[in-house]
Amino acid sequence: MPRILIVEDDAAIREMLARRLSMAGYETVSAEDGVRALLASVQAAPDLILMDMGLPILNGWQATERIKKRPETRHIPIIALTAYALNEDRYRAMNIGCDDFEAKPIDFDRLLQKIARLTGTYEQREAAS
Amino acid sequence: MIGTGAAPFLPPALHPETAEGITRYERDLTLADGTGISLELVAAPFLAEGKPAWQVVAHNITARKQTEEALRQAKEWAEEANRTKSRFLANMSHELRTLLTTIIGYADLITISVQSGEFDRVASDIARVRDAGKHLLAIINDLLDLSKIEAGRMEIHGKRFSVRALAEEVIASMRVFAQKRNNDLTLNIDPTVEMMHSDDMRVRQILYNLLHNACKFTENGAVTLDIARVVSDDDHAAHLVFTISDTGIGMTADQIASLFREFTQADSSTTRKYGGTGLGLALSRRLAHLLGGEITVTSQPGVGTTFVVTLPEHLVLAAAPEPTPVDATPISATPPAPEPGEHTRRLVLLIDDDPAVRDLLLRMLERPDLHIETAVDGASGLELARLLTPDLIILDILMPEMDGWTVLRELKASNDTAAIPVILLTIADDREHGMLLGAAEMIHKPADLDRLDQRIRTLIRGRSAQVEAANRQILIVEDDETVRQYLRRTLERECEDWVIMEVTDGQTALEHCTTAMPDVIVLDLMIPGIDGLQFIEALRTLPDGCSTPIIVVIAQDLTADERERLCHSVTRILYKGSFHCHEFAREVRAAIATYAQLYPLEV
Repeated sequence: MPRILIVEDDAAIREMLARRLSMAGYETVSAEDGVRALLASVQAAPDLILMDMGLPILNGWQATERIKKRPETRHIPIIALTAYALNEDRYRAMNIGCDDFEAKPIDFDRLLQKIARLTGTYEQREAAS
Repeated sequence: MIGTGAAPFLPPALHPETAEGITRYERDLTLADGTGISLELVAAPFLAEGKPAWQVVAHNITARKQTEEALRQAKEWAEEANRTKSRFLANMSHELRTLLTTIIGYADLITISVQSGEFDRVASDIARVRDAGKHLLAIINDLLDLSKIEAGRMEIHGKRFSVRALAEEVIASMRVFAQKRNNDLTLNIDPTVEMMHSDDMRVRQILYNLLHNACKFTENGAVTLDIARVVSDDDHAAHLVFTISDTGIGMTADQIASLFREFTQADSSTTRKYGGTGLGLALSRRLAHLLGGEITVTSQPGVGTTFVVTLPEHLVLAAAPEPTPVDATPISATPPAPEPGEHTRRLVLLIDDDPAVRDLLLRMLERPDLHIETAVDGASGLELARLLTPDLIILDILMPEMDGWTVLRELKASNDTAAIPVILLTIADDREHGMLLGAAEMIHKPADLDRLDQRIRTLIRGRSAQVEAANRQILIVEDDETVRQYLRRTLERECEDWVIMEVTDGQTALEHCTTAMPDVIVLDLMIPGIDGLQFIEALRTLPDGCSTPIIVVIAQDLTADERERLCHSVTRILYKGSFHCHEFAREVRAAIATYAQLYPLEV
């Protein structure tokens, strides 16, 4: 099953995401700041990253930029998951290389669909059902 | 104005001989008493006894000009207020959405648990919903208070109360929270402090907010509330001075500047780490103003913060319930808040095998705007540098296995890390060697930490600053006319502001560098006279020449020996015929950018 890296500094939201994603059958790893996100993006070899933007040390924009610049991690899809929910925030996230954007509070059905599409499990699920 | 002559009143750049028709224009003049006036003038040419002359009619429009200026300022203020309001709403939306994410998310989890009959975690999940709900309520209460103040509807009720009793009550309610973070909480009251006539509820609210803050940002430290009474020499008015000081994480000047703005804790990530509505300080200051007082703050990163609240001993009620006047910074006129997510720290990588040095530097460099990652040897240092792309690297030279020189060479040889400024820590005085390899700075052990701190600031600032490309000098050293023309055309097209110079042999190039060191050198290796390699070696011995970026352009593959000689001292090697003009221009820009990072202007 695909492995998802959850980057989120709010412990309650991090745990909530991990539980929901593992219910949906994903393996999860977590990072709570931008630096740990950068390390985990290589060391945990995730298939997708959920990236909060208001992170300590390095924020989500900085971490995303660095991950998308590195040849070995460039391919990993990143979904920006942020409470900065204006249209300009969406454009900003897409501009620095995020593959998709979800505003908080989270619409889980829609998030799961996006994850499935970006990790290639969507087709498998469609085919199975 | 009498006696000044006609010149100030005549139309611009016109002479009666050439003028046609009526000219209308404006002039600002200064009167003999120093006051300025604006005139609107209408000049008509005519012939006086056959000679050309002007008839000028002046109309004083000073009042109209002043009205226009006032209108323009009002418009600017309104626009700024509007922008600030938008930012405030964006920030508020962020806070509310974050809490709602928890509330809705855990409500969903509870639903799933109940449906599947698994109740293990339901109690703790409900607690999460309740905590987030309470936090949300606190924000809404603070918001309502702020909006009441802004609308002038915050009611202030003056009454006589004992300052000591109120302070002791606040301290007592704070005790448990202070102990959670292992903080000593102390109250000192000067004997002259007795009764106060003010709004006790609001005074309590201010002290509670500030003490709560102090305890929140301090761990294993001390939080003190000192209360003193001062009497003004001028009007004999008595004030009570409440000083709340802590030994906590402190703040930088920038953070202090944004401190009293709504929804901006000094670092937005601290909201998550430390909690709080981000409204408490803004609210406290407004309340202090309502009570006829003021709040000031001083702080030092890593040392602590001191808030001083000065309130009149006897509240003058008439001043209190007035609506907030336009110039008293209501919510809508606070200074611009930073963009969301802009609060962040600079990342420094420290590579040193000695745990004592690592510890010392970590402690000495502890500042809220810096984050330091450490590596214990060269190999892991290189790995971390690659993974993190830090803003600055502090590198020890004497390390077992892979030494600092090797690490530095590898850093400078990789595209990903070449641009990162490096500070070398060394016992050996080997400055030239370090500079040759591209180090930005050498600091001798035992580290002179004041200097290190200052260098870090300068280097990081230089790295983040936009590189000023105007009037950069580029020297092209190339004997082949065609290639030289191509290089020049490419540079002229891509880098308009730069000064491009050309020479055709190594000796002339060297003379040129001796008199005026260029910012970048574009060098052909196969040049007549002293060849490219000899030129580089000679250049590196010149006073300013050890750091000048060199881009080598060559026609053929290098021998292993040539490559070895080059790789430590040039910025980039480009092969003739195989590089694109955009790529070339980009290399030159990058070289200049690196140069500017390594040698930023001292501020």
